[in-house]
Amino acid sequence: MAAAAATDKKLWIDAELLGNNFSRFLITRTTESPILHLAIRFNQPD
Amino acid sequence: MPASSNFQQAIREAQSSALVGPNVVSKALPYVGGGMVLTAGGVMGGLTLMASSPTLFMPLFWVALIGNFILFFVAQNVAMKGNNSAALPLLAAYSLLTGYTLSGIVAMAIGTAGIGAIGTAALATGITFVIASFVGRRMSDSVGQSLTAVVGLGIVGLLIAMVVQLVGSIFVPGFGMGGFGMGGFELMIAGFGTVLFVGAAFVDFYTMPRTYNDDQYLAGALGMYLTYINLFIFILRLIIALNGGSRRD
Repeated sequence: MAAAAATDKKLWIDAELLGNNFSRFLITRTTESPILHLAIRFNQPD
Repeated sequence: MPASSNFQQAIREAQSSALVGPNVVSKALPYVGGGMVLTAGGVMGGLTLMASSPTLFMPLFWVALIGNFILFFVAQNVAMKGNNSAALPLLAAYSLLTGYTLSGIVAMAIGTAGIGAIGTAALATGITFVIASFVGRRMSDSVGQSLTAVVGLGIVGLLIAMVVQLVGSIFVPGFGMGGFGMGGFELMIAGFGTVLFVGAAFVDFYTMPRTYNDDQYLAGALGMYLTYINLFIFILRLIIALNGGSRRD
């Protein structure tokens, strides 16, 4: 019973850690989109 | 009882219980530093390519971006299992590609505010790291848990604001460019992001020894690396926004 609870707890913690890292990763990636937009606009001929 | 109660209880117990990885921070720090150096190398490569063969930059950017997504998920899963010999080369490649994909914002910051902007952002990130490493390790459980909850909620809020900015840029001309040009919204996002990731830097030193075991130091290093990369990016965005963004041309 205690072992099952410990496994359950570890699963929750791992999910939290994965979620944390993933949201930080997404924020880094989302930053690039305005930059990309700007780069495309700069590359367009006047 | 709702499922979230179990979740919150598990997090609370993990955070207040004895440290599961007392040495994980000291083991992870050299790899965080190594990742930052590789990222700087990737940025330099991107800037060089932008100057020498600009037509090659964008196709390679897309390749790097897709590779970056794949590497993130694979490297994180491998690192979480404690398989460090396999995770290390994946994380090294991930750091290098992240640097390349971030060379756009670095080039923009140099163009808008000069090379000093990069130095300012790097220095501010370094100072935050030094202060966080002293204060974060010594935080009490009540402060640590509260700050963790605030930063967690803030990250969700920031992500929503950034998605609004991204979608707005697609449907409303000038909105996303807005991004940098319109000042208000971008300034708000950049300021909020900077404050949030300063908080996240403190939280990392508190949560890492309570959530990662000593063998998971590379997974912990990835989380910490993402915090400092984001902090650096948001300081750059703040400097760009304060200098008028795209109004430079």
